[in-house]
Amino acid sequence: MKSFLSRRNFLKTGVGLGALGILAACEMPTAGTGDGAAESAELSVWVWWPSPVPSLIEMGDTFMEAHPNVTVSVEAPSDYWTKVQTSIAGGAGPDLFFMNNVNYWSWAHRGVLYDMTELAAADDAMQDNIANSWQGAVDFYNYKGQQFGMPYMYTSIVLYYNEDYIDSKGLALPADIEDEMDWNRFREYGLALHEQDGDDVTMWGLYSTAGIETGWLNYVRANGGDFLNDDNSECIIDSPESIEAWNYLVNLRREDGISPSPEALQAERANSLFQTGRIALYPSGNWEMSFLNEQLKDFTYNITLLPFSPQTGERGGTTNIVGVVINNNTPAEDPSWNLMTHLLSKDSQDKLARANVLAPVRHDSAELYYDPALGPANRGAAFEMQEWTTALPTHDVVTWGEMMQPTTEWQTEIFEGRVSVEEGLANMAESVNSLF
Amino acid sequence: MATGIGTAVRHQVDFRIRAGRLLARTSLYMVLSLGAFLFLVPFVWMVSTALKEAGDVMKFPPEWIPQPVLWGNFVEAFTQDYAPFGIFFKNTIVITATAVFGQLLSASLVGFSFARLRWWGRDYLFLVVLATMMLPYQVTLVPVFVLMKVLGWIDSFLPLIVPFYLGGGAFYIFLFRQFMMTIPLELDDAARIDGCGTLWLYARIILPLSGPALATAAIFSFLAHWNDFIGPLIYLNSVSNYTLSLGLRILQGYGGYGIQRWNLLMAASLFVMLPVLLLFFFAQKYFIQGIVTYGVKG
Amino acid sequence: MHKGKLWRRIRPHAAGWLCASPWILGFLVFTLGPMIWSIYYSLTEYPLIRPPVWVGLDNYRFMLQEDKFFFNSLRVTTLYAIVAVPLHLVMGFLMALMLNQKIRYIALWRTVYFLPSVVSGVAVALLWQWIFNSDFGLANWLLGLVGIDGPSWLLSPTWALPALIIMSLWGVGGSMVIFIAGLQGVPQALYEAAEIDGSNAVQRFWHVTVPMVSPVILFNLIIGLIAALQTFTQAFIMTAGGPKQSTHFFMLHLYNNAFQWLKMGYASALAWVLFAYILIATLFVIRSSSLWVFYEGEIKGR
Repeated sequence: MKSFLSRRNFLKTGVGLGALGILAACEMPTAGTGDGAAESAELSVWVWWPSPVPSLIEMGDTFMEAHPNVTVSVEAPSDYWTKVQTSIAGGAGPDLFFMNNVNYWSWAHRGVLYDMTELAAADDAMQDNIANSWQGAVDFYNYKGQQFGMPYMYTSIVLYYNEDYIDSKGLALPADIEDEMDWNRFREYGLALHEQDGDDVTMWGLYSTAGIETGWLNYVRANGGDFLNDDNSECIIDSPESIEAWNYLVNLRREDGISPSPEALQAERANSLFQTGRIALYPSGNWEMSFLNEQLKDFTYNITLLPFSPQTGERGGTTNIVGVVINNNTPAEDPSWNLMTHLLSKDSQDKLARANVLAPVRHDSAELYYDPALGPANRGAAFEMQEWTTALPTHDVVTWGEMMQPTTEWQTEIFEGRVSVEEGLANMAESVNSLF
Repeated sequence: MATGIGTAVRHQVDFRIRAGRLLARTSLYMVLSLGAFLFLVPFVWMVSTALKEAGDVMKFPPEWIPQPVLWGNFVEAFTQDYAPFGIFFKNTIVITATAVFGQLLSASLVGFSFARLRWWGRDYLFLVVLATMMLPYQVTLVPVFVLMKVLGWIDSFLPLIVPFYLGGGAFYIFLFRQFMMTIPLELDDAARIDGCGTLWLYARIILPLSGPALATAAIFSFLAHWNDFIGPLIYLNSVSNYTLSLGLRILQGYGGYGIQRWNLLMAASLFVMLPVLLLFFFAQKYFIQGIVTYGVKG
Repeated sequence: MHKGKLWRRIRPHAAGWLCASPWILGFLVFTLGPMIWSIYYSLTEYPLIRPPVWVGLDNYRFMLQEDKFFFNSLRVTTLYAIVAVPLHLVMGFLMALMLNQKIRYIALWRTVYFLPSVVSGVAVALLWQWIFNSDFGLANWLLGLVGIDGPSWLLSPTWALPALIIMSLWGVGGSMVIFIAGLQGVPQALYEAAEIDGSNAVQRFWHVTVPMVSPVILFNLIIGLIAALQTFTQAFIMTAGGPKQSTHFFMLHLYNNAFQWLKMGYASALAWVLFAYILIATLFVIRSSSLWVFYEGEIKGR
C-alpha cells in the first residue's frame, strides 16, 4: 500500500476541515479529562532522536496539568529500535513510543503494538484529531483494518541551496526558476557552480549520491519508477525508468565529477559540507531547516522543489510518516490513550510546529509550520513538494533493515563505479526479492 | 713493555665493548622514547580535542594547543537535555559500588572456604570453579536474559548487581584462594582453640590479613563494572537508568543528526576515563599484582 | 550424645559448604541451569515474545547452509585473533625484555607502557574512532610525518580490521607486565652457567630465556586468544560491523541475532558454536604446547 497525498486534496481538507477543526478544538474538552484524571500512572514516551524532546516535554507538562495523577517522562535512548524491541519483549518498555514509516508494518505484523481501532472509533476527541489530519497518513497507520498507531509528523525532501554563492556566480536563484529546473538544467547549474583546484574541491556543484530517502528514490519516482511494486510483492528497482534515473545520478558523479562519492562522504558527511559552504545544491529533508536556522552563520540558504524529470515532466518525492504507538504491555492503557489523544490535539501540534522539528500531521497546525517567518524564505516549497510525494517503502514480513542491507551495499558499488548501473540494480532487485 | 702492549690492546677492546654498549644503550633509549611517545600521544590528542572549539577540531594538520581553551566543553557535553550525565554518573556509581562490594564479599568468603576449610567435595568443586573460568559468557547470555525477564528485572540495576553476590566469579575466587593459602595455618588452629566459629575466623582473622588480595580484587572488579558495556546495553533501556558507557553511546549516536562534535565526545570520554586513571596512579602496585597473580601463578 | 558426635563430624563440612554456598547457588542459577536451557533454546525457534517452538537441529542447519553472515563472521574473528594475538605476544615480550634491564627511571617507563592497558570500554573505542578519522585523525597525521598518505581506516573494508588490531596493541602493557614478572622469575644462575659454557647473548636468549618464560607465553596466548574470539565493544561502537561486513565479528553477529532480531534460539546455537570454537582452539594450543613449552619440573626430572 502507498499513501498518496496530492496537493489538491491536502489543501481541500486542510482549508475546509481546518476551520472546522479550530472551532471544534475550542469547544472540545481536553481529551479524556473525565475518566483519565483519576487514574494514576507514570507514562514514559520514547523517541529516537533528540530534536522532538523539548517540545514533547512541553506537551507532557500541559498533559500533567490536566491529569495531576499522571507523570510523563520523555526520553531518547541510544540504539533506539533494539532497545524498544528488547524492553518490550522483556516485559517492560515505554508506554508510548515513536514509530516511523519504514518500520511500522513489520511492527504491527509482529503483534507487539496496542490495537486502538475501537478506542479511536469511540473517542470524540480523537475523531476530531483525525478529521483535521492528513488522511493519507492516518490511512497509512491502518494496517489491515486495524489502527496500531496514529501519524504525528512527517518528512519531505527538498533542494537546499547556498543562496549567497549562487548569487555571486550571477545565476538565477533556483527558487525563482523552479518551473525550468529539470534534470538537465540542474546538471548545468551543478557544472557552473562546481569549483575545483587540481584534486582539491573547494565547492561541489551538487550532491547526487545520497541514499534512498534523500537521494535516488526521488529521481526514480520522478521518472515513473519505484522501489517496490504496488502490492509490495516485488522489488522493481531494475526497471528501465529506474535505470535511466540512476544513470543520470551516477554520471553526475562519475563523468562530471561534480558530486562527492559516498565513500568520500563517510569522513565528513554531506550535511557538514553544506553547512560549511562546500556543496552548492544539496537535496535533503525538511528536518535540516531547524538546524540550519540555528547554526548557519556564514551564508544565507534557501530551499526549493527537487528538479523534475525531462522525460515525464514530473517531480518525485519520498516521505517518512512518523507516528506514535502504544506498547501492548502497558499497564496504563487509558492514560496512555489520553496522552496519545493529547499529542494529536491542536494545542500539541501547534507546539510541534513552532518547535520546527518536522511538519505536524494536523492541517491546521501545518499552516504554522510552513509559515515563511520561521525561515528560510521559500519554506513553502516543502509543502508544495508533497504533490509529488509518496511514502517510503515498507513491508510487513521483511523488515526495513533487512531490505536496506543489500540495497545500500549495491548503491555504494554503483556510485563508486565498481559495477554498471544495470548490473548493480539487477543485483539489488534480486537480493531484495530473495527476502520476500 | 709486554704489559704495556697488553694494556693498550685491552684498552682498545675495552673501548670497543664500551662503544658497543653505549650504542646499544642509546638505541634502547631511542626505541623506548619513540614507543612511549606513541603510547602517550593518544591521551594528549584526547585532551587537546576535548578543549578545542568546534571549528578548530576539523583542522589538518591539527593544532595541539587549543586556542582558546574551552573548559566549557565539559559543561556542554554534560548538559544536553537528552543525555543527563549527572544521572548516568550517579547510576554508574551505584551499580559499581554495590556490585564491587558484593563481589568482594562473596568471592572472599568462597575463596576462604576453598583455601582454609576442609570439606567433602571441595577439590572437585574447585575444579568446577576453574572450569567456569574457561566458559565464555555468551553461552549463558540468552538464558540469563530470559531469567531476568521472568524475574521482571529488565530495565533495572538488579541484573548488573545480584549475580555478583553469588560467588563473584571464578577469577576472584581463585585470586582469594591463592592468597589465603599463603596465610599460615597455625592462625586457624589458634583461633579454633580459642573456640572461634568459622565465620568469626573468616571475618576477624583471614579477611583482615587479605588486604592485598582485597585491594587487587577491588581494583579489577571496579574496572570491570565501571567500563561494562554489554551488560547495561542489554539490560538497561530507559535513559534514566543509563550508565556512563551508554551515555557516551547516546552522545555518539546523536552526532548523526548534525555534525559529529568530537570535542564534546572527547570531553565526555575523558571524564569517564578519569576515575580509572586516578585509581591507577594511586594503586599501580595492585594493578600489577593482580595481573601477575593471574598470569604467572595461575 | 551420639547426635552430638555426628554433628561434630559433620560440622566442619557443613561450614565449608555453607561458606561456599553463594558460589554453589550462583553456579546453579547463573551457570549450570542457563547452560542446560541454552542447549534447549538452541534447538528451538524463540522470538522471546512467544514461547519457544521445537525445531530440532534446524538452527544449526540454517547456520551452515543459509546464514550468509555466519562464515564471514567466523573468518573476521579468526583473522583478527591470528594476527592480533601473536602480535601482542611478540610486542609484549620485546617490551618486557627492554624494560627488564637496568635502565634509568625504570618505574616511569613501565608506567607509561602499562597505562593504556588499564583503560577500556566505550571511551577508548570513541577515542580511537577519532584517532582513525581519515581526514582529521591522529593516525594519518602521524603517517603524514613520515611521508605516508594514510588510508581511510574505519571506512575502508581493507583497513578497518587492521585499524582495530592496531588499537588493540595499545593495550599490550598488560601482557608486558606478565612477561616482566616471568623474566624476573628466571634464576640468574642459569644465565651464569650458560655464560661459563661459552654461549653468547643470542644463544642465552634462545636457550635460557625463551624456554624459561614459555609457560608465560602459553598463558598469554590462551588468554589473548579467548579474549580476541569474544571481541565486541570496539566493533559495535566504532564500525558496527562494517564497512561491507569487514569487521562483523562473531559476537556482533550473536548480539544482532539475539537482541536486534530477537532470534534467541538461533543466538543460543551461535553461542554453542563459539564455545566449541574457543574450546577447540584452546585445546589445540595446549596440545601443541608440549612441543614448545618448557616446565621447570623437567629440569629436576632429568
